[in-house]
Amino acid sequence: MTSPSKALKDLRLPVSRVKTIMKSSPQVEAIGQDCLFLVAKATELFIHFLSEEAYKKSNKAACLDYKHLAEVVHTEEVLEFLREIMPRKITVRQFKQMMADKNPETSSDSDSDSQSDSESNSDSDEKMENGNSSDSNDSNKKNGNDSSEESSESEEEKKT
Amino acid sequence: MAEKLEDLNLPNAVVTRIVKEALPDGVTVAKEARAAVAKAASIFILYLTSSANVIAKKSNRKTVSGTDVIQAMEDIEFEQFVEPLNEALENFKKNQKTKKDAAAKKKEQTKEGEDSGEMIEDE
Repeated sequence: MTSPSKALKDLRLPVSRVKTIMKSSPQVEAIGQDCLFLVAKATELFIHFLSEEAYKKSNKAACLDYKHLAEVVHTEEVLEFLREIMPRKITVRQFKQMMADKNPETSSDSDSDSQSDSESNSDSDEKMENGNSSDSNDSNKKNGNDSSEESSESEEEKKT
Repeated sequence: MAEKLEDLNLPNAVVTRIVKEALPDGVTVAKEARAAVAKAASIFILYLTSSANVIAKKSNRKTVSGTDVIQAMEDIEFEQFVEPLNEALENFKKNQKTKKDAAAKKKEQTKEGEDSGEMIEDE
């Protein structure tokens, strides 16, 4: 852990990238210098906060896991905006149980409805399994991309 | 505008470094957790930006300013960040000022140097 005074002095997140992300929002027209700096700084503080809180939830585990993050996102009120992108992971069995719990209500509408429901259920089950496996592949790829991206970025910086 | 989709992600290495600073030594971060934190940080930027933008629009300004961001932090209930952010902003302004001053001084010095150089030549 570094001292907070040191953390205050310098930015570590690339300002240009933060700006790109901010500009991807269509309503934003112009961004002031100190606004950009503050958003980058706030994001650093946010990352710090999120990891610290997640670690508290993990009971001092040796490895910070996704489930700790998801847990803290779903318990902390201020992190509500992340709930959709960071769902709690559930097992396929839990998912089926959830659907089974839900189904009695929907099946009361009509028989055809419940049939299509159960069909879509089995579909989404498979999708979830596939989604999970491809997810880990994605993150692998992402990591690879990012590191290559960074090197190209630093190269660009050198050029300019 | 973003040219590539990856431009909307923060660099993973930097994010991981900040995460590790927040954790005690020896604690590792799972790959999936790193990706999730990076994604969360991107969303946070957008969330904060749009809140700050709403504040700027309300007072009929097109440019989002630093005070808008601080106000937005309070709006989205991250009050605990306001104080460190204010401190950081002061530091940032100071740094920029010293940079400016240093640049101005340098300019002056080179000018003086040229002047004195001329004077020596004159002598």
